[in-house]
Amino acid sequence: MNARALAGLVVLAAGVWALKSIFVAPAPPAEPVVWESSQQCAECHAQVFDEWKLSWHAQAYTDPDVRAQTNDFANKDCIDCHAPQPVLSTVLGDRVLPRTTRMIEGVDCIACHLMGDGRVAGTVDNASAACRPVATRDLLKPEYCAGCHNQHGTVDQWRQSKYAQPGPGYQDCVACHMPHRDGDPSKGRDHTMHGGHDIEVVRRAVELRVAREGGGVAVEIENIGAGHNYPTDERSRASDVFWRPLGPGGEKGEWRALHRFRNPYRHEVDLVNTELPAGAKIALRIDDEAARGEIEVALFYKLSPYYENPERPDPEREAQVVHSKRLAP
Amino acid sequence: MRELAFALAVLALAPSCRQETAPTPAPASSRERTDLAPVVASSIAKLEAQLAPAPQPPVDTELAEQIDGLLETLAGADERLKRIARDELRSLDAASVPALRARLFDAEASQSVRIAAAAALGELDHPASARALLERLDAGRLKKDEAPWLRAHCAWKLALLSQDWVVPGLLLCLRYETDNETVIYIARTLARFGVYSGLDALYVVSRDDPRDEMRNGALTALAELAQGAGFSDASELYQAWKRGDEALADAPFSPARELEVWRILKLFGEWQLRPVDDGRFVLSLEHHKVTPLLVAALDDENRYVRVHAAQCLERLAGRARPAGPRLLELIDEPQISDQVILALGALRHAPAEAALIERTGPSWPLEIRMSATQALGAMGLASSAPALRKRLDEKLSRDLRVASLAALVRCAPETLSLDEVRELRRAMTGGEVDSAAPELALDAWLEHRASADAQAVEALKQWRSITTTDSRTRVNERAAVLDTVLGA
Repeated sequence: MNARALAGLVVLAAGVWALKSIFVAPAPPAEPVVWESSQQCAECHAQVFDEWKLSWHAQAYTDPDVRAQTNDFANKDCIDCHAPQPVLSTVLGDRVLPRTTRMIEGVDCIACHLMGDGRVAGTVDNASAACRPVATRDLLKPEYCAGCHNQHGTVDQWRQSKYAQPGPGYQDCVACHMPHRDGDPSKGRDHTMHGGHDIEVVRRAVELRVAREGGGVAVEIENIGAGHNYPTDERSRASDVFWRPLGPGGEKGEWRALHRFRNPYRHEVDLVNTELPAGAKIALRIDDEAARGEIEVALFYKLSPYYENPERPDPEREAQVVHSKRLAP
Repeated sequence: MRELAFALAVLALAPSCRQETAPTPAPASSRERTDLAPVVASSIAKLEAQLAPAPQPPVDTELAEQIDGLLETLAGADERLKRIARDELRSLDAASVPALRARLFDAEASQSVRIAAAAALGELDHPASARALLERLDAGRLKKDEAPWLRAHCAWKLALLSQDWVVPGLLLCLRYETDNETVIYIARTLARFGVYSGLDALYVVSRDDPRDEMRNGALTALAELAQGAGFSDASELYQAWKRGDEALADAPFSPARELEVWRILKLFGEWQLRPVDDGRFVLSLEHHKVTPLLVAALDDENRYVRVHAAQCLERLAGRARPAGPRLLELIDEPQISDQVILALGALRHAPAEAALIERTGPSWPLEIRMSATQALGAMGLASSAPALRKRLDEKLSRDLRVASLAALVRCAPETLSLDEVRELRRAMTGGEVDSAAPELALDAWLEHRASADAQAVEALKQWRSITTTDSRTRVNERAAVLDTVLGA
């Protein structure tokens, strides 16, 4: 091929490319979407949306207990965390601010994924997708959860734990509360975000051990599974150790309080925080005549701290059993 | 080579021939501010320099023994000696505060000695004595205060002092106080400083306390506070307070109190919401003289200080009216515009109406449209109704449509069709939007309807008698009541 022919081919190729550049537009970036509701996300992300609908984040504004406690959010101070503006509308790790739209969606897709510039924080970059996702590693950081959940110190508790130390044992918020579906990273993360409302999750957090020792009963509770205090976060939560004697015919005595794990409300300034830090254990004793026979020791979990009758609490009715052990005479 | 040159020329021109997408104009609400400053920090520094800290009276052992003796005498039975002791305690100066404070907090001392200590502190018009009384009153936050009766005495004695800087602290105590007798005295002392935010608590005590003497005590306080402020009854005073009437403008507001307010505003920048919540509560109940300070805080460099200052102005509502012009200037401040808009509505700042109507339009971000619509509803001007009506003809998100209907109820309830009222009813019970907005709007609509419809009068009575805290149950029961007026 001579030089002239070669030049011709170059010109031809350049011409084709030039014409293509002029007349065939590249794949256009998606039109900016006006985000009115997280329902808009369901069209493409049905599985994630369905998982989120089951989560407590989705009920942050509509849960009847929350509505009653906030006087239907007439107490506007509660809106900050129960219907927040997008986390990324402030600096990551800063406190969140309240919004005025789509309140019933609570802590929704938009609150966690919408970026300040109208794009969406996700796991991949794709300018032509409807939501124009941008790969955002920040989504996985504990600071993402901190704006709300560290208001009660949960993220700080985690930072003090072994799980926050770099190395093979490192596990953060998403590792436990948003695990990969079926343990398979290619399937993405579960958005059901199980936590303190799921008694099975609570059961995995602590262990209850009971043994006869030195004429009494030794009771030990260890935080073996939570990467933060047990219980944590919301001060309404409480966990109580009760025991009761069991008669020879199986008669059940009254429950007797042995210990309470709880962080008090802000106004309960003369109560101390008795939450159990990650990895910590507490040893309790029962030295009571009534404990010489068969007894039952149980750890209960309560979503609201007070018993109807504090003098005669009924944990079986008012709380959930986490673990229960029977001890022979 | 001519072909090559032509091709290169074409290539060079190609990008300019492509159809350019017009850059999206930055919304007005994204205008950056350049006038922000450390307003709060500099105000605190200035006032702290101006107000030398009150000298801490030294502990005088001999004086302490003398005071203990006087307090014991007061606790005794001899009336003549008690009179003398009382006179002597009245003649004491600030140097006696440490000894009196020690007795006030002494759990081992008798009830009468501690009450006498509180009374003596109430005779000493000194910051240290006010601090001692306020700190003891703050024990109401404790789960187990060993002497709840003492808190009422402390609240009472604070009214005898001229230390108006205790008002923010009193308001915070009011938030956590569980003893109704103390609540009554806190409300009275607040009123002594021209702050009538304790009226709400007095109404609650007068209605809900199971004890006759407490209910009567609250009723007496309501009547006396109204009379003292020049009103014929408490409800008139209450309305005047909510409106921020000029008649209630004459109240002390010392530099020391300003310093307390600035210190609360500083807390707004903190990460933890606890002090922020307390601060929002206190400043929203303060005297309307707090307004200029909150307005100044809108220029603070800390976004959170600006946001929460705007929230306080919104909650002060009519009492923060002078803030209207500055809020209107800040309507497009990017980081606080939605809060500023809500505040303008709560203040009923009529000059903002046109700007608010503009911001309900489709070119504005949804959050702004929503806030503007809610603000128009809060202002309730009939002149806003045509614009709100026009919006209803457009395609709106569910939230915005319900907010527009709710705003229309406030502005021109007579213009709503029964179908539109039914739409609000569905919104209240349907679970697709927050039930609170349509529920409040329907309450207002029923009230309007009741002015001309006997059936609606009965329905309104029934509607308001349904007060269960479970919102789902409540809205369903209220919907059934509403149906008696709406028909099928």
